[in-house]
Amino acid sequence: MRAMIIDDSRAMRAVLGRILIELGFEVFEAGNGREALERLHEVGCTDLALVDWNMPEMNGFEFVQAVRAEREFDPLRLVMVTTETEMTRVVKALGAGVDAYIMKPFAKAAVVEQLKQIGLLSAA
Amino acid sequence: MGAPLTNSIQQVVETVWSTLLGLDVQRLPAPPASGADDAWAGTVRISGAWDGEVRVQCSPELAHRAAAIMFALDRTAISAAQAEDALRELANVTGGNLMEVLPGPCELSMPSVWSGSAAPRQPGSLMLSRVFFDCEGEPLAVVVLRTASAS
Repeated sequence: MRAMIIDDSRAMRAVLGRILIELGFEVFEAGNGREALERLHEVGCTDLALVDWNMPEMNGFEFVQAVRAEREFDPLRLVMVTTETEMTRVVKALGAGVDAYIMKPFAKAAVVEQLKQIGLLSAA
Repeated sequence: MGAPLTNSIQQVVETVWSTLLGLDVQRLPAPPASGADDAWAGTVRISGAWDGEVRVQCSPELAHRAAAIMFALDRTAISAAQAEDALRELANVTGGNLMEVLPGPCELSMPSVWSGSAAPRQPGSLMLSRVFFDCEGEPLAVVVLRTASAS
């Protein structure tokens, strides 16, 4: 499976990247939503995107809206990984087409649990 | 807001540093005798129903150790840019989690990193709380400043 990690922090991309690689994903990275959209078009079929909210140029919410406007990305599972914990924002993100929400700071177990919830990892 | 905010800072810092880095932090009753002069500060502004700033201050050495953990590299392989990146993210996560105990709704700015006393302070801003910690023998502090014009 292929995953894109979209976060302006290289340190956070490194943390998330290690977790996903351990789980068997092929990982790509982008530093903001605009770069991620370009990478998605280049890479093609991608199963998962872990998306930060607060990023320069194009933030995570704008990225989610852009992705969900393109039918070719319908199979892409979108997981927000962010410090934006206000319930209004969570609801807004879910309404825009986010499949799951992970709050920073997170442990690997939280990532695994959310990926199970959206069917990308076996529940067993 | 004094004591509850201070307790929230301690709880958030302990959670962030243990969950993200696997490091224990110990709260100190007073600032450490040394280490403040060359400290780095990761800062993030909060605006909306509450206006202010959260600063995560630590020694350059601690920022490098945090980066070494996040990048899974040896401490000696960590560049200043990687250490700054790690401190920016720690400020981002700390500020984001502290927003939960501040009046909302609010928005978080992009985080910045400053060295020494270079971090600009908003004119008339009021320091609501400053909490000191020790992490692996290195100084760490979190400061919450409220912008004076906030209601």
